[in-house]
Amino acid sequence: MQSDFIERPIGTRDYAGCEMTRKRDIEDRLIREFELWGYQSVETPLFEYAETFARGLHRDEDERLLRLFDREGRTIALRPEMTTPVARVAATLLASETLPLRLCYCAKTYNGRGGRVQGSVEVTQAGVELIGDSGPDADAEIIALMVGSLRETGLTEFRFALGHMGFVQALFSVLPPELRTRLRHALIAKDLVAYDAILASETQSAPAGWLEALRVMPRIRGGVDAIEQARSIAFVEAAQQACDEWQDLLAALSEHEVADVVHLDLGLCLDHEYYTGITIEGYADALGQPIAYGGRYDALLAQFGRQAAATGCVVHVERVLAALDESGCGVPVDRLYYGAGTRPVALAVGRELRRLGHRVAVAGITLEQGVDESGVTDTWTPTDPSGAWACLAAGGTLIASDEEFAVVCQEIVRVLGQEGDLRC
Amino acid sequence: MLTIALAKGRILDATARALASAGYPVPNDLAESRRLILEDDSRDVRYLLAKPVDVPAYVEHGAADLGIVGKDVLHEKQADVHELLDLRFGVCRLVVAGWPHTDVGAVKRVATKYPRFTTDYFRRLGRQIEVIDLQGSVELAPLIGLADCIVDLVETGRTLAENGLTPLAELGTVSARLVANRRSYQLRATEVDAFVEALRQRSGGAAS
Repeated sequence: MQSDFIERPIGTRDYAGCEMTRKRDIEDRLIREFELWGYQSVETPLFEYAETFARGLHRDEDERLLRLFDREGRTIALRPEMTTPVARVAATLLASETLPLRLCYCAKTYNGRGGRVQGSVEVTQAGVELIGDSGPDADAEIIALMVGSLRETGLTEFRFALGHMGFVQALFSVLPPELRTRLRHALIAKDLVAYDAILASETQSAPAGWLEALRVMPRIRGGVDAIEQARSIAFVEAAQQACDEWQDLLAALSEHEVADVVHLDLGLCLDHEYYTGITIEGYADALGQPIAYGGRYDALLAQFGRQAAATGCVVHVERVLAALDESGCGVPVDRLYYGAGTRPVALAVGRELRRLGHRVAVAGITLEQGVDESGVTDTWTPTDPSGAWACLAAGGTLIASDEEFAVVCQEIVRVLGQEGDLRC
Repeated sequence: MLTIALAKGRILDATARALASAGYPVPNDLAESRRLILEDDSRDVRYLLAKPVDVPAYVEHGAADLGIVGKDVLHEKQADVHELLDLRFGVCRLVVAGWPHTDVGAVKRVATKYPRFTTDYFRRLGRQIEVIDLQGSVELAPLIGLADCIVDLVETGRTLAENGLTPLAELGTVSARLVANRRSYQLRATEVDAFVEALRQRSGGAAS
């Protein structure tokens, strides 16, 4: 018989111990950095009406929603991402707040992954959204903030690729709509073989020079040189405009002193319909999969009744965790044990230790664990090896794992004793 | 250093020839060798010899920067990788095959190593069929009545003929592809592009 109750649903996982400490630490550091840049935390429900997400997501992504029904029978879905709920909040709860709004979050998101067996269903996203600022300075702020936040987590080797949906759309503008969709899907799938094959089969759809430009476009990556290449194939005003924005963005990023960790990727096409301008994808050297993504989505807020340009980026916390060196795991937990009659002392010392910033667990030990009538034998040691430990025996004797911790505990006992808080 | 995952089996010889003519020679005894990792220090590359179905996973997770694998495997695995180049070797037809005079539009059960291709193909025909997912010797299935027909790769068609089966319809052709890990495509762009270019010139020449 299969025992499902003891297993987790596919695509989910548990965190505990050192790994959990590190994960929480990453989340704390990211949020702290976001707030230092003036971003305010928001929280939204774990699930929303499915229509809410349909406003933000590509129609094809519909099947990736994890849906259920509420008590009225309406279809609700676990949030697949945070940008849409945050946009909804910015247009409703925060409707009267002056723009620009700087919002941040760290929240779990869920997706059905379209039937793929592997891959996480549950993803922690830590992200920022800058709403109400349409200029490249806003995109630069988001990217610089992301670079700073990732560095705060301890990550050193990473880069951001920057694309521009406006550029891609401008180059596609000459083509029939159905062809644009097919090409866009090929770019989203990162399938350049299919992309080339589509172009090769559609020689009547655009002038030869334009088709050649479309062919080279997704392969161009680089710094300022890539902008030059982009300009050479920017046949329409909108494409030149995108190049201007890239140029302004790179200039701003160099003033933010992060230009060395970004490059352009002309073919970068993220699979959310709502991106309209600069797109961002981040990669860590230590991990095969992207760790961050985002971009400009100037039309999304209007879907919820508020006209506002916006840009943002999210970090995939679990991937950052995987990319980080596993050394340096959190703060060890100290332990304080009491035997017969020493519980009040131990609890008081525990309170004081915590006030001083120690992480300390207080626990009793029993006769069965090798303790004699007077308290503990001096050969007793706890079985758990992490952190320092001390044991308070009856009569005020104290044995401890190290001298330093013994001195701290004894000092607390002495001071509390003088203040009359302690009866030894 | 670039790490390149190569698919053992069907396309390995052609892969070795293509690499050699692109300026990345690999040892002649590649197919016989039991070694799983081969290093070429002079060109700063390292080859992993993997089972074809595992190549997409090696590349997706970044254990390899690049991979050379058939489109058949790539499509089935749906790995999140960059598909950079059609290498135009290892070309095979993917066909529906069965007893002569089988009506492809009326089959109910299809045995295959390629459930995704198969389901997609019959869905386009407006048919929802039952797929029997087998790992090898797929031809056996219609012989003993396990399935009405099969979907499989055909190079010469000899195995089919020897078992009295015949191709009934063609789903398309597959060939070897060069794929890249997403991180490597961005963070090792110069090395990746140089390798792609070397292979492109070679495969472009072979294509005509």
